[in-house]
Amino acid sequence: MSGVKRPGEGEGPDGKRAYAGPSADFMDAEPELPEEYEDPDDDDVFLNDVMDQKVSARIERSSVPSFFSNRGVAATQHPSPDRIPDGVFPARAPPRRSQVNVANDAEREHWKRKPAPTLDASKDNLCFQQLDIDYVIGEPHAMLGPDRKAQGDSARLRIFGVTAGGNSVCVHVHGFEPYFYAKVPDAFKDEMCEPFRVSLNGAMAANQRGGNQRGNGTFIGSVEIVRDKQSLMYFQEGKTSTFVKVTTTLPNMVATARGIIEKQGVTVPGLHHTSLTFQTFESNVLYTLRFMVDRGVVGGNWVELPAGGYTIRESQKQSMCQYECDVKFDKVVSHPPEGQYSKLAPFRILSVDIECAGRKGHFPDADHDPVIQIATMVTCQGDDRPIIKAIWTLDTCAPIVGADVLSFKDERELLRSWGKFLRSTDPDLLIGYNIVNFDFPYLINRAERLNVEDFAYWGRMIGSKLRMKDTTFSSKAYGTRDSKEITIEGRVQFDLLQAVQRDHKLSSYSLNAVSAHFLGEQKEDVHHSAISELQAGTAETRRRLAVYCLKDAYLPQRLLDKLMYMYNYIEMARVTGVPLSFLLARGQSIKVLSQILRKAKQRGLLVPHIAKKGGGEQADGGVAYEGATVLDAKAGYYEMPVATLDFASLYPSIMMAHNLCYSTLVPRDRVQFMASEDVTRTPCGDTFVKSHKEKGILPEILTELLSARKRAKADLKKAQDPLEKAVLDGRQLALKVSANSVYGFTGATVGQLPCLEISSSTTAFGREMIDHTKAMVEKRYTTANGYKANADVIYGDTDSVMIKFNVPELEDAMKLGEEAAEYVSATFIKPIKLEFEKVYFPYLLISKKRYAGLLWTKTEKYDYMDTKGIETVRRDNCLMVRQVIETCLEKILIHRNPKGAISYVKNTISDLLMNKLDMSLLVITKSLSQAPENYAVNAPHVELAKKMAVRDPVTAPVVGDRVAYVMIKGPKNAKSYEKSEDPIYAMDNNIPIDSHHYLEHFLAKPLLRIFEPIMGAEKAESELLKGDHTRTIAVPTPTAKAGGIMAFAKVRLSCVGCRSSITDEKQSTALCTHCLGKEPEHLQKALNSVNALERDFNRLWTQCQRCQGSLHQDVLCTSRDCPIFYRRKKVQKDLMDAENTLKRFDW
Amino acid sequence: MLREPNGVSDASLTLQRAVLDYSARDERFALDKKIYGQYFQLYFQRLMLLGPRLKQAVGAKWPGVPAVKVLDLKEGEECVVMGTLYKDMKLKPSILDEYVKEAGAKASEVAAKKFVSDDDSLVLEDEGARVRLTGKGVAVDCFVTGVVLAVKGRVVANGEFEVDEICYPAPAPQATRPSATDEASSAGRHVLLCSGLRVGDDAASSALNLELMCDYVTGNLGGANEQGVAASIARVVICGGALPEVDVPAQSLDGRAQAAVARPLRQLDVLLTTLAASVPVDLMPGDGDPTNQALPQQPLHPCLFPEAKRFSPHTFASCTNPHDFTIGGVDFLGTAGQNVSNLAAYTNVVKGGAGGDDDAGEALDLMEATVRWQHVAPSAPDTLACYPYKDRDPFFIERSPHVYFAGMQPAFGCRKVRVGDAETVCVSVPDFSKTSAVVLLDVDTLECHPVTFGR
Repeated sequence: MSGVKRPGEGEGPDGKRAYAGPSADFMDAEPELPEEYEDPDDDDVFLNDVMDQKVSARIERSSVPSFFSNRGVAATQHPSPDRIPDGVFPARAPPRRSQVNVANDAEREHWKRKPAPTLDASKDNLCFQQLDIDYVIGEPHAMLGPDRKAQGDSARLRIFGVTAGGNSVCVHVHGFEPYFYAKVPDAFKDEMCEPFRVSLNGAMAANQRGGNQRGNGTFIGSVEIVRDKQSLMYFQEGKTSTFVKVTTTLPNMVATARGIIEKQGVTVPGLHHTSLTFQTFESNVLYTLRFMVDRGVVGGNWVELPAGGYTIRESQKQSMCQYECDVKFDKVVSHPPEGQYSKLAPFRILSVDIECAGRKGHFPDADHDPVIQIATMVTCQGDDRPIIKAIWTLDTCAPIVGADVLSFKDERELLRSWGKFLRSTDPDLLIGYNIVNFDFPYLINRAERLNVEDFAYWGRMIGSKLRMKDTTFSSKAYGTRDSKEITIEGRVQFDLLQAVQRDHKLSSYSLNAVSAHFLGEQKEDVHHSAISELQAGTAETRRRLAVYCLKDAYLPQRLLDKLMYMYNYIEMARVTGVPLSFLLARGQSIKVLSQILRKAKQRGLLVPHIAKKGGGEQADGGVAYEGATVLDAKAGYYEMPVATLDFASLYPSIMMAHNLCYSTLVPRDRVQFMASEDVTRTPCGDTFVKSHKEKGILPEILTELLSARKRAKADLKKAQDPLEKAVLDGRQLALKVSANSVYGFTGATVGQLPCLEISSSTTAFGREMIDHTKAMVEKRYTTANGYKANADVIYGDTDSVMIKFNVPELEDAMKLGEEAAEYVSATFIKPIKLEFEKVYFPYLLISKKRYAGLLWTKTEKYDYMDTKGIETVRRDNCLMVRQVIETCLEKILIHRNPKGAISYVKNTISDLLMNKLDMSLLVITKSLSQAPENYAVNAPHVELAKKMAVRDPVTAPVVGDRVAYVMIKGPKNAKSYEKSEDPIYAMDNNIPIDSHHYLEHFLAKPLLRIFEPIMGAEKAESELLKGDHTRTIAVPTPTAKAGGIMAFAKVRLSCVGCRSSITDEKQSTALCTHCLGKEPEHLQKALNSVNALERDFNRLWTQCQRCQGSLHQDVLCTSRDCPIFYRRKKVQKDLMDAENTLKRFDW
Repeated sequence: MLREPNGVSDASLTLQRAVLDYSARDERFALDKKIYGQYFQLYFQRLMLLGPRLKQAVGAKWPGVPAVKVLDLKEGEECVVMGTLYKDMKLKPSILDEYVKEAGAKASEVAAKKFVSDDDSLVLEDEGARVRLTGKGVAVDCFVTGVVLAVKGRVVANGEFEVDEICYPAPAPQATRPSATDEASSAGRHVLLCSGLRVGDDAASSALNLELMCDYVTGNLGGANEQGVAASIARVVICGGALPEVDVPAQSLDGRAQAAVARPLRQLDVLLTTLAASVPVDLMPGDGDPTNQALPQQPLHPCLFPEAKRFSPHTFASCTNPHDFTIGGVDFLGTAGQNVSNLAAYTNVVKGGAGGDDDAGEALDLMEATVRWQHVAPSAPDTLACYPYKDRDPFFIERSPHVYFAGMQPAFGCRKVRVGDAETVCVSVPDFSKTSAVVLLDVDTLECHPVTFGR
């Protein structure tokens, strides 16, 4: 029933009856900045407007003009209702049919939101939790009056959210005009405002092609003098300065106006005869953030529209939300997230996973390979079970219990149906695993390829298509990565892959590995070549695939719940005041800026716009001052308790204690005029006023963050309800992270508001304090002062000091630690506090930033083993290294048995050399990120991929696959990349493993690191790596297939007992005549190996069966991330061999 | 026995050893060429073998209620679903635990004897799909993975199946037992069942009790009464645990360790020779005995018994475990107890309470359950290692035995279990090394009682 016209078929934009107006396409009127005013900051995380007008405008002009004009208030009089994607407003929902498999069934009544109660705008308040705020440009609403209308288009904010009853809301907020400040000389008079405005407006008009055509050429709405404000920068002794507040008609004109004011200059008659440039303030604040700051709205909080203050749209809705209202911006009431407003609304979360049928030997590509299944689950926030479980399949699919199956013959219909489903269920949040970079772009590209025009309407605005573009996300904290940016109006995207990558360090981020790590479950992993086979099979095999796909859609939801992402991220948004969508898409600094803006506003301070230093590379954009001190580590294995004193929130508390802030920094040339009792001179020579003169903003932000954290922690202790606990824990964590990022913000030279005086002073204080602590402790705790022993400070990190009091008892060490913490703390300014938290006992200190120890906070039992900097989770390491290192540490620290650890290492090395280790321990995996021929350097996994492609192009790894390999023995002087081999191939053909390579390249370094402090460098190397245990090695006999000399060898039976060849096969095929007398013993030995293997076989294969979730079907999984993948294969082979040996005993 | 040199042998004192027909049906447990494939075929075969009998039982129990495949379930409609159970258990040990160990706590060191927890749950799977079971009609703690059964109930809103009642497969046919014959002597005719002899393990059982047992069976102990009873023993079945449990390292042994392994073997050989000279002996392997450990266990290799093997096949038989045989028209089926012990670890049966046999209560409950399930070892392969059969499942009950026994149990106990027309006596054979007891089973009346030595 699709009546969608192709782009270009019809003329004129889609009609919206609400606002009749000129039919001119307003987008063409979008001002385009002249090249020279292209602000360098535009690509910066701060300035990128949520909806980049320029980008969308470009898309519109180039591709589908008529579709896009609908965005915004696009006012035309051409009603073309059939342009609206189907199902947006179904007159009547199709009757629910008992039979599934009905293609047109994507809009089932029970899948929709509960009907919204009728609202009376004159009596009822509308209260809801907002989740997303954006803005569009359009004709001003009638409520703004004719004057505003004359000025042309205006920006209109849209707030999307959900009521406590679970109904969706879209509020159009009118009348909030973008503005910024510029500092003008004190001589600036009130009557100069208008000339200033006119001059600026003229410059804008000259610079902008076309201008705001809909208006009367007004770019600058107003200019007014502000006298009660001051710059945030530098201590100003309470004086105020003169500013002008410049209001523009559209948000993107702020950057242009700023450019003109800062660089080109404005001529103001009466002030000066030539044009003057002025410094601007708060001119780099996103429009939406500006609104949020001004109206006290923080990310994800509850917003209320009081009765009488808003109007409800009934018939001419632009969105698919259940309530749609218009309101003037000053009528919006924002509730601080406390008490009843700390709750979360029951918003709808849609989790999605797709399967594509790739061609043999290729990774799926949207240009060629069809989407064959889309699994979707919808969950209400707060529910523990999904309310909708559904799967769209291409071709038939047998039914699945508890899930709706919708099957299609035509891929276009499948996509179309899913699109309808998405609109009809109206989710607030879209989640999935790698959706942003795989699933969503694939669906969008595929639909475009197939010309399914009515597919890409996922947003909440009727007739508004989603937009996708490539971006590069770059942040100091999270690194640089390329990704897609998809704009789906009104729905927040939350990619679990991005969240997990951001918050956790893991060795692998495959969904399998992540769910194994957090949910304790292995996931079945079906290789994409197997997917095509299943798809080509029957309804049953497709059902199998569907079950797998559904599971993949469910796991992100489970991760979301398990990691409490909703609570944590919404808390973070509330605490820092940024919209939810910023948290994943942007770095740390916007959060700090948001807080500074809010705080500065209260104090009447304005945040200056600091133009970024041109050509600042990431490398020198980093820290240009001296970092934190690390005291020299006295490496060793300490069998005495080592007390650790930590500075609680070191950098935040330094900033608070010394009142370090932009607004308290005294400029160098002013220092001489300050009374010495009013200022603090920092160790690096900067001067800040003390808090009795003026309290800084940053210390205030930090005080609030930390005291809120303290409160949250106290509440957390009291809380009983697990849900409440989750919320509070999320909150305190968010607060901690935020407090710590303030320091980083001041030090980021490529950031918004760098102030190295603050950051370098902070670290300088930190260094001083560590040295001070060391000196105090070592001076006081001596036998001369009556203590049992002299204390040694053996190591000091950024914010902690490790002290060996030289007392053997844990209890004594704890007492001394506590005492020392108090003693030293007393010498610091509040709130800097040295806390005694833990004792390491025993403690293995390897070097700077590398240590391991058993951590005790109470005397009864240790808490856990703490390790730092010991590479147990390196991604490119094989499992063996991790296992050996972990076991060693366990033996040394927990069992206090360094000797046992040494003999364990020797045994393992011996096993390695004797070829007795499980091969899965030796497998290394690396992902093939580009075609093998494109790699510049030779890498083992690339070489192997080439080799495998020669053997069998069908099963060979393709780009995007993880290549697993083992190192095999190669010819002499072979490069290591030549020695990689497919583990299965090596296993099948008995190809010898290069155990020395493993020993030398993987094990040696980490082992020596651990054992050097214990045994001494020389001894460790000679004893561990070159001892007797390395003298015996075993190399399996390769099969003839592996080539080489074995092709010419003849196989003869040899005695199981003594390996001599059997002469009399009639007597026994197992043993020689000499060993025959001990037959029971040799039989027992043969049995033992069979039994061990049988047990493993059983445990391995039943595990796979459990994991795949079916008893009656065979295991298909080929997850190379799974630790037992190779083992279960190997056990089959070994078992056959062992059985054959057993058979020779003539049973 | 010493006798007067010139005395005439007293004919009345020469007791004749009772003789009964014996035939074994162990071929189905014998494995020749092993091929290690996957396990799904075994489950599939099981469902195929028991399916028809399950249908039959369902038809009789719930006439008129439609039987539905899991895939075709519709919400709210009462129906019957048949399939294989899968029990989801949080505490079930997994080989993956070896890889995800947290510092300080070794997951592989499982101290628990029971792996049951409160949030275990059941899933029923037929050829096509799975459905989660809920409701009072199904006691999660009493089941294990692998049981084939039918449930009656309906799908409720969240897609789970609410169970009202359950039904097991109809019992296998049972051979008619010959009625008590006239040749029955006053002492009756007996089969002696024992397990856990642990020959040569001085720590486990006193060598004296073992000696006494041997003398008793061979008629060298006690007065005329005891000897009469001894003579009535027509067969001795050793159901597992004949040798001590030793940790034999897979590596080559030094001289002393070799001796430690070899000595019990020699002693067992002597014991078996002594017994076999007097009475037919069936030797079943059990847990830890020198043969394969996964079910079915293959007979112990004859080379282990250079002396006793000379009595083979007449009065000494090295058998499989499970062991299926007929004596004097009575069908026996039994195991060395791994199936029961494994069930015990994964279930929490409410004590049946029948009989005062407290120690054996759990074992008997579980044995009764397996008889009702018509499957000797349902938990294989999920938690109990077994061979991955491709084309059959030898562990399902294809003829209802008269006597069903399990060795290596903590105490003696027996219980009559009636399923349909078939009546089976379940016997829990005590571990001799712990109880010094063996079981005498009267072939005519199927009554049994323990005989305890020493103490």
